[in-house]
Amino acid sequence: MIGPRQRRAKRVAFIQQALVLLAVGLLAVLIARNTVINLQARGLASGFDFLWQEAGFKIAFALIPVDATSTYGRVFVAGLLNSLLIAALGIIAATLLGFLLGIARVSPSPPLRFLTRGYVELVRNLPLLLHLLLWQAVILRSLPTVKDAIGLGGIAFLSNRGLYLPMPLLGNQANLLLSALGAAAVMAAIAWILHRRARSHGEAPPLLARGLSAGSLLLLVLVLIGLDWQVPQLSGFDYRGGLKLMPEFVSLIAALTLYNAAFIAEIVRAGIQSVDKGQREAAAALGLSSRQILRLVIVPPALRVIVPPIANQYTHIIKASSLATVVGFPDLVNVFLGTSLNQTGRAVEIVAMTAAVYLVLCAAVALATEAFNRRVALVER
Amino acid sequence: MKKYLMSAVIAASLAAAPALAAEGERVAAVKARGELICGTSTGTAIGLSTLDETGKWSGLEVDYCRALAAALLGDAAKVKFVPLEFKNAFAALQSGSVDILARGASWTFTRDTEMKFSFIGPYMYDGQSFMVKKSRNVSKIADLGGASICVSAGTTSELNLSDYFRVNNLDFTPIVANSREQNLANLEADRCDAYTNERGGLAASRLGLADPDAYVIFDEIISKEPLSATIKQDDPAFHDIAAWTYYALVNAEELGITSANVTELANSSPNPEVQRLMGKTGDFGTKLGLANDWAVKAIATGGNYGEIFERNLGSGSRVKLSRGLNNLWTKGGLIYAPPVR
Repeated sequence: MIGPRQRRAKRVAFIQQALVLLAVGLLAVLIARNTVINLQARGLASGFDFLWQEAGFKIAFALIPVDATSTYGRVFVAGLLNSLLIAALGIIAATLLGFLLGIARVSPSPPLRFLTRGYVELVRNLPLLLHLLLWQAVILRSLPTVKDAIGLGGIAFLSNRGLYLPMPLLGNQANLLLSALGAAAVMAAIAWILHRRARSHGEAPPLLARGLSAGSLLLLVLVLIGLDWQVPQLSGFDYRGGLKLMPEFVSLIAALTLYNAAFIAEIVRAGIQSVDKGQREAAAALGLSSRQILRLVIVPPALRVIVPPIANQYTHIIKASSLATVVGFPDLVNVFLGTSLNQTGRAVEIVAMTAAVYLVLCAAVALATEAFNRRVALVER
Repeated sequence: MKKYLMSAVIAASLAAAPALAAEGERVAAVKARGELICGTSTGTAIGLSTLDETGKWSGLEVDYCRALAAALLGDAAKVKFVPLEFKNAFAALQSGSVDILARGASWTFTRDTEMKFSFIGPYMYDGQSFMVKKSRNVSKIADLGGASICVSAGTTSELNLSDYFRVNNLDFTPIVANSREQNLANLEADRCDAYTNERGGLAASRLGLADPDAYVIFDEIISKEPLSATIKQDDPAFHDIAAWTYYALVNAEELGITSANVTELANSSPNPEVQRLMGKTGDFGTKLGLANDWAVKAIATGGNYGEIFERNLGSGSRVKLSRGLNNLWTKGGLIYAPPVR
């Protein structure tokens, strides 16, 4: 029962809390206001209008067309896409390598266990920056100059200016190409469904499925051969035409992948070892094949252990992609937080935008992990 | 009623507390600290700001900061050099962590107006050019079409490069590095075909290469680069002191005052111009808020402008840069200082 005294105490507490909240709010407003005024007085914050101004500098590598007449806004997008590319490639490659290493860490073969353990301990105990500078120096010093580039079958070339690959020219063939690719995809999809159905019924896949897979593969090969490939040609200072992968890009991806794969390997190992030995033995006793044991018995509970720390590793890769600025690859930090900031002097706006990008990306990874975790979590009935 | 209105306005403006530095605030801060904080290059700008193996700074920019410390604090040793990469240099100045920047920054419109900096006046008139390997057999910029060009991130060089190549319909790939060292490593390894920077900077960096004679610097210039010491635009008194210290060094050269004869001339020169500069007559030092012998202290530190140039960049140095535009106006150059009067 609430008596009048308690009611009064409650009311007083409410008023006190409201007053404290109000004071904190006022203080926050005052601080924000003072900050804005002081920043303006120092010429440090003057709005986001610069995003529509011409940037005036070129970017060596971009996924969208950017040149010296592009705006700072476009430079921001180009840098962002480059950062996303690095982070995505780094995450995929580190995950693949990390899983392979992690499985090898618990392999029954002692030499394999020993080697992977050696790799993990060596790689994860050196700073990422060291890996990066090492790869940059290795590529710069050990690969030949562009004049003496190593030819790879006469269609690709490797030098310390990068790897030059042939690239298909999508001219008037684009429609034909797209429809062929679409047909191949449809055929592959039907084949996959037939395969799956057959397997779940414990039957051999029908002849039609095999025929469709072969057909889609053949179509793909035909498309690849029939394309108008543009092979890089040495002219003047550099190779022209085709696709050019900058050495800075390669060293960055290599460093991010090799370094983070070592951590992911340990996470995967921990996940696998967290599954009780008894369960494995029980599954074997029931006559499940080793592949079935891995897929049905070990992986589902192991994922619960693996996913949260691996998500941490992914956010690390996203943030570490900003080390691109050290080797001079034009990522967001390099072109926006670096060059654009220096040219415009809009430190506050640019730092805030860059910080927001990393914040949003890392938060997205956290949300995706949470959703995934909920799906694989133990359902307690 | 009006009185209340007035006090309300004052109260409101106090609450807003715009932190505009009052006149003399930076000067007072430096004096209270007893040390001038001068932002320089990372120590590799040979002739401008160089750090040697023993941890000693030298160079034209360094000598200017020492002269300023001597004028301001009476002691050339009371200066702390903060090595800054170019991309951090302006932020360091804006945030107030250095008092003055003397690290090869060009005086430009945006920096002067929008970024609210104040330029002391060019201590060196430079221009952007290119350094290439002689073995490339290129001798002019027009030959560089399609080349990969090394450039430092966030510099005016990066913009000038884009502008010039666009105007002249030349293609190029920028190889952007944060430091001069990385740019030079890239050039040596043929990662890029040319390295672009101010001619003075190029001449200095060439000395640090394994085989300096294998490189050539173009005579062509694609930009005007008036390198100037830079301060925040918040203390006119500090600007006066910084500017007049520089003018004192230039006037000293014009008047024939050197580090060797400055003490003697301060006492015995019959020339009224020298007497005013040396504080023998008038109270020019006091008007700056300094000791009256401020200029004597500044000039005694590293000599006049000409001495400083020759020792660090000219015939007395390894760089061997001719004075060219950096000669006195009386000798066909652009170096000119207003009179002390």
